[in-house]
Amino acid sequence: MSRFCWWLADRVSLLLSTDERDAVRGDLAESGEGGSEAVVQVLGLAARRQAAGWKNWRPWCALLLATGMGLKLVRQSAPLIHLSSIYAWMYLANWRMADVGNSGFWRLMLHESGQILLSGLVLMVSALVAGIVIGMSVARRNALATGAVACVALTVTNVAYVPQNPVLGPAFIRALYAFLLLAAVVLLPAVCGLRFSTSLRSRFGHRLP
Amino acid sequence: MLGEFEYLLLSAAAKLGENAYGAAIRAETGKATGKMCSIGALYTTLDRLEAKGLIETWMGAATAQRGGRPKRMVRITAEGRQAAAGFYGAVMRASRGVSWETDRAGVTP
Repeated sequence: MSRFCWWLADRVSLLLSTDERDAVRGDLAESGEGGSEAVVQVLGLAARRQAAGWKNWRPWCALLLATGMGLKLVRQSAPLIHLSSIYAWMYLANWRMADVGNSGFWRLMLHESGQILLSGLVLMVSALVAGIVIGMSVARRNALATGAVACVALTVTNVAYVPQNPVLGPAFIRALYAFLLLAAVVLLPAVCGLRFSTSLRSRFGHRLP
Repeated sequence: MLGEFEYLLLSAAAKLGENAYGAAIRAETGKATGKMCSIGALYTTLDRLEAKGLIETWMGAATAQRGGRPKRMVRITAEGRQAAAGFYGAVMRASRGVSWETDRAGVTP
């Protein structure tokens, strides 16, 4: 248990700056704190640091931006969820080997899957750009909280906007399919964008606005 | 004007002199108040004092006792000494004649 608590304290301390992390872990080791107490102490400091960051207007602006862009992306992904589920069902449930030799079948399939892939790609690029913009406008320590709040907003909106269609009949399948697709075309690229911009800030922070 | 916790940290740092760093200051304030402060309160207050120019901090050497991790060393500045002395004077003046002060001195009002 104590080992797990120290591991957890180490994980939580990653929210702190490198110097502060080392100093705090050293202080905890020196004062002989127990594992659970160490977690509480590090969590307390991380929470205070987070709270201090939110006194500035920038994280609020980034949160507004993240939620707004996220809502827009989720709404835009509804047709993609709808079309992809219908075509996936159509091709998988009605697959006939006889169609393979038919050139019309291939032309139609390429056209439809091309459209779906294109709209998916547009969403991915939009999410990536959104992640970069948000990452540029918020400090590293606030990026996590901004991302978490935006994710909650996205999940709630996702549940509200998941399209109704016969293929996605049961609520669970509908929610799961929509979530997996959203994770692939919105969440993952957004997180990549966020990570890219925060790493850029930490490397060239002094030259960025 | 300083806050009381800021004053406690300045006093501890002044008392510890060259050996003033996070864990030592925390132990010293714990001795004075009978209760250990949280690390969060300690480090955020040290940051505030540094921003006000009342202390200077830097990363010191690592020791085996600390698992090879460095200390955040603290030095009180001339402004810090002045601010602490001002706070102490204000508390002494404000306390003059109040019941707990006279009781402590063994004087019946």
